[in-house]
Amino acid sequence: MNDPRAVGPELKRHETAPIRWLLIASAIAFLSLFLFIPLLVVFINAFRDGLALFLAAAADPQTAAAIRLTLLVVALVLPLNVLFGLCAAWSITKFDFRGKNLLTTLIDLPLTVSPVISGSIFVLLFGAQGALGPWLASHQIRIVFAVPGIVLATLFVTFPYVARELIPLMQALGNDNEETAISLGAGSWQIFWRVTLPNIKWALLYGIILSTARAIGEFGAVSVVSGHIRGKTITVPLHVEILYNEYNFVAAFSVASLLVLVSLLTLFLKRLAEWKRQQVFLENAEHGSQGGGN
Amino acid sequence: MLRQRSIIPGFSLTMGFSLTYLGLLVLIPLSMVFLKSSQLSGAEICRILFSPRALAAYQLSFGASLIAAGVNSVFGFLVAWVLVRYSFPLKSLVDALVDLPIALPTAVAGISLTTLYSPNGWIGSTLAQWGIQGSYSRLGVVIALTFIGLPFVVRTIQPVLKDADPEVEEAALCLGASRWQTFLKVLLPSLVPATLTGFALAFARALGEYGSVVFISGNMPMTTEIVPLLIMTKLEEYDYPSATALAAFMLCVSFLLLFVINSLQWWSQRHRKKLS
Amino acid sequence: MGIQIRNVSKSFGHFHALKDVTLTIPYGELVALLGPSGGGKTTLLRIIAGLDTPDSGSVILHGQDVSAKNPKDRDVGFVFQHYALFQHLTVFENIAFGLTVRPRRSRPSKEQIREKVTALIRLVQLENFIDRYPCQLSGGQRQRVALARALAVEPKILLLDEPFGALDAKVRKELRRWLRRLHEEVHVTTIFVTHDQEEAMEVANQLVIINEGRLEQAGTPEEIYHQPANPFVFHFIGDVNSFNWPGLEEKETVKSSGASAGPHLRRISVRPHLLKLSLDPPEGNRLAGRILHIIPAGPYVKVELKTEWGDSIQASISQERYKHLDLKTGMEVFIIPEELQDFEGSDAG
Repeated sequence: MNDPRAVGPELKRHETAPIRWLLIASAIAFLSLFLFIPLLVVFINAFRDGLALFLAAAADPQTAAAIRLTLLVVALVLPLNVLFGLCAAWSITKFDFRGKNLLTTLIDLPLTVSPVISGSIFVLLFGAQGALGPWLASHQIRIVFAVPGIVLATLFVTFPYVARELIPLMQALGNDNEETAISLGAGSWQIFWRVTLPNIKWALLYGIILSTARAIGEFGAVSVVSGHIRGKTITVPLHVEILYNEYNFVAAFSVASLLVLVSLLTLFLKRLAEWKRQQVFLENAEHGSQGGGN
Repeated sequence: MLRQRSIIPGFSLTMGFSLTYLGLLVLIPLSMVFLKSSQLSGAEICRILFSPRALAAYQLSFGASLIAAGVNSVFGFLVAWVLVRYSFPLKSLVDALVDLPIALPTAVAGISLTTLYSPNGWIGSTLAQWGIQGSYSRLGVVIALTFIGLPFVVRTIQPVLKDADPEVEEAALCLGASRWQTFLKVLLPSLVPATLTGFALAFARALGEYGSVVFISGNMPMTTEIVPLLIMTKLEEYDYPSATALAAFMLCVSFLLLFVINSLQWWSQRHRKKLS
Repeated sequence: MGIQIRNVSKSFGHFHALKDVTLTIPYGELVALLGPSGGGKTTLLRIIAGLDTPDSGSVILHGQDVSAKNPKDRDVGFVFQHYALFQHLTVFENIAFGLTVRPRRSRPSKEQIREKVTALIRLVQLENFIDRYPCQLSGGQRQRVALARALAVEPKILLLDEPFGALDAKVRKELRRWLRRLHEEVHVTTIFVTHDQEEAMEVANQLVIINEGRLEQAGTPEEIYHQPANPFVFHFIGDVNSFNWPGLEEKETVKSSGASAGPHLRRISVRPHLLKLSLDPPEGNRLAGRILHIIPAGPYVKVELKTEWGDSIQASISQERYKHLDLKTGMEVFIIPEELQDFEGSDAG
C-alpha cells in the first residue's frame, strides 16, 4: 500500500531528455511516413480542385448508388453478426464443453484468411462452375456477381468481430450475476436483458463498430464476388477503385475521403467504447472487492 | 461430445445456432476449396503450385511480408515504447491513429500510398532523386504491407510494456546495470514473446493483403504480382483449377500461421502471468 | 558513521510523503523502519537507495554525501517487497546479475563469479535450486534469491522493503530468525521496512518509528516500548487501553476541576498486562467494571470489560490469577492500573 508511484512519477528509470526526444522523433517520423502523410494525401487530393468538384464527385449518381448498396449490405450483415456474436459468446463463456478451443479458433479463422480467398470460396461454391452453380442456374438464382454474393462475402469477413469482443469480457465477468438472477427466479430473457446485456453493452457496441467499419470498407472479398456491374454491384470501395483506374483522381479521393471520415469516426467511437468499458469494468471490480470484503 | 454443467439456460439454442451458422458460412464454403483441389491430379497440382509465375508470386508475397513484419517489429516496438513510456503533445491522438490501418478501407490506403510514393508524389519524388522507385515496384509492396501490419505489432507490445513491473528495472539499476544493460538484459527478454506474436500477426495479415497492394504494386506477373492477386487473376480467367489449388495452398499456410500465433499468444500470456 | 539523513522532505503532488526527517543510523546496525502503511517508510528507503530524489535535504552514506548520485554508485543493495526477480533468468543468473553487468575491467572472471554465487546460494540455503526459474520457487525461496542477489554486489548497506510482507505467517517467522542470523554473519548495515511491530521488535536492534511523513522516535525496542516519546508511539507499539479514571493528581486539580461535575474523571492509557483485577475494593480511587467476555486460551487470559463510565477495555492476567479469582462473564470486578502513561497537555488517542 505504501506505494509512492501511485502518487508521482519516479525519475531514475527514464532516459535522458535528448535520447527521449530522439526516440519520440523517430517514432513520429515513422508514423508520419506510413500513417499521417497518407491520411493527409487523401484530403489534399480530394480538395485539390476546390470544394465544388469535391461536392460534384460526392453527389454523382454512381456514388449515390454505391453508397446505397454499401448501406444495404451493412443493414443486412449487422443484425446477423450481432446475433451470431451473442450466441457464440454465450455458448462459449457460459458453458463447459469439449472442443471449446476449436470453436474459438474457428471464429478467428476469417481474420487470418486472405480476403481474396474469402471471396473465392463463394465463387467456387455458387459460381457457374461451382458445386451449386448448375442447380442455381436452373432455378434462375444469382448469388455470385450479384448482391447476395456481396452480402455473403461481407458476412464471412465481418462475423468474428462481435464474438471476439464479447468472449474475453464475458469470460472475465463470470457467471455469478446470471446464477444469482436464476436463484432469484428470473427467466431466460430477463437474465439476458437485465443482467447480461447491461454488463456487456459497451463491448457489444465496440464489436458492432469494428464489424460495421470492416463491412463498409471491405475490398478484396467483395471485389472477387462483385463482377463489377456498374450501378448494381459496386460498393463504395469498389467505386473508388473504378474512379482511380479511370484516372479520375479527384473523384476517387473525394469518395475515399468519405471513407476516411467513417474510419476516423470508427476510431473515435472505439476509444469512447473502450473508455466506457473500462469504467464498467472498474466499477464491477470495485463492487466485487467490496463484496469479497464483507 | 458436448457436455453441459450449468444451470444457465440457452445452451442448445445458442450452441446450435452458432454451429449451424459457422457450418454454413465458413466450414462448407472453405471445404469446397479442398474438395475441388482433391479432384485435381497430383501432377496437375504440382504444375500449378510450382509454375514459375506462382513461384515468383510466393517469393514476393512471403519475402515482402517478412520484410514488412520485420520493419514493423522494430518500429512498432519503438512506437509502443514511446507511447507507453513518454509523454508528448498530442500523444492520445497519435495513440488512436495507430489503429487507422485496421479501420481504413484497404482500397483507400492503396490509392493514397500509391499517390504518395509514386515518382511524382511527395515522398516518391524524393526517393526518385536517389534512384529508388517507390510505387509500382517490389518496394511499393513492402510499403503497403508495412502500413497494414503496424497496429498488430504496436497493440500486442503495448499492454505488456504497460504491465512491466517498474521494480524489476529498479532492481537492475541498484545492482549496477546501466540503462542500456537494463534494457538489453532485463526489459527486452520479457518483451520477446509479445514482439514475436506481433510479428506473426503482422506477417499473417500481410500475406493475405490484397486491397492496398493491387494499387501500389503495378501487378506485373513474375515481378510485382502477389499470391492473392494471382488467385484473383486466375478466377477472372475462369481458370478455376489453378485458383482452387493456389487458394488451398494459401489456406494451409493460414492455418499453420493461426496455429503458430495461438501458441505464441499462449506462451506470451503465460510469460505475463509469470511476471505478475 | 553509517547513514545520516539530514532534513529530508519529499512530496508527490500535494501529498507530503516525508517532512523534514533527520536520522542517524550507526554502522553495522540492523534497523527497522516501523509505522503504519502509507506513512513514508518506503519513500525514505527509496531515497536512501537513490530510487527517489528528495525535494530537499541530503543523504550521507559512510561519510560521503550521495544526494546527487545514481543508485548504482551508492553501494546499496535493495530488496523489493515483491522481490522483482528477473523472470527469464535462473536463480544462479539472477544472483550473478550484478557481477556480470560490471564494466569489463572491474568484472570478476567467470570462475570468480561462479565461486561467489555458489557461496551466496549456500548462505541462503538454495543449493538445490540453482537452475530453477523464479516462477518455480515458493515465496520464501524467492525472497532469499532477492537477498542473495542484493548481497552479491557486496553493498555497504542493505535495504529491504517489507521483506516478509507477501509471505504466509509460518514462513515469515522462519525468515525473521534467518534474517537476524544472516545479519550476524555478514554484518552489513541493514534497514528494513515493516508495519508489523512484532516483526520489528523481534528482528531489529534499533527501531525508527515513522508516521505521516514524520520521524516519531528512534531507539532500541526496549526504549521505545517503555519510554514512548509521544502518544502516537505509545499507542502504536503494543496494545493500549484508554479509559476514564476517577483519580486526580495534584497538578491536575486546577486544569480539569471546572470541566465536569461529580467525580473528577481524566483519561488515562494503560497497557493490558498492567491492569490488575481485584474482587476487593482497593484503597483510594476505585473503578469498577463488568466482565463481558473471557478468552482463556494462550499463556495469558484476556478479559474484556466495560467500566462503570462506559469504556471498553481489555486486561491480560496470568492463568494462575484467573483461576485464583475464579472470574466469570457478568461478574463485577475492580480495575487497578499499575502504571499510568501520561503525556503532558495532549489527549492520548
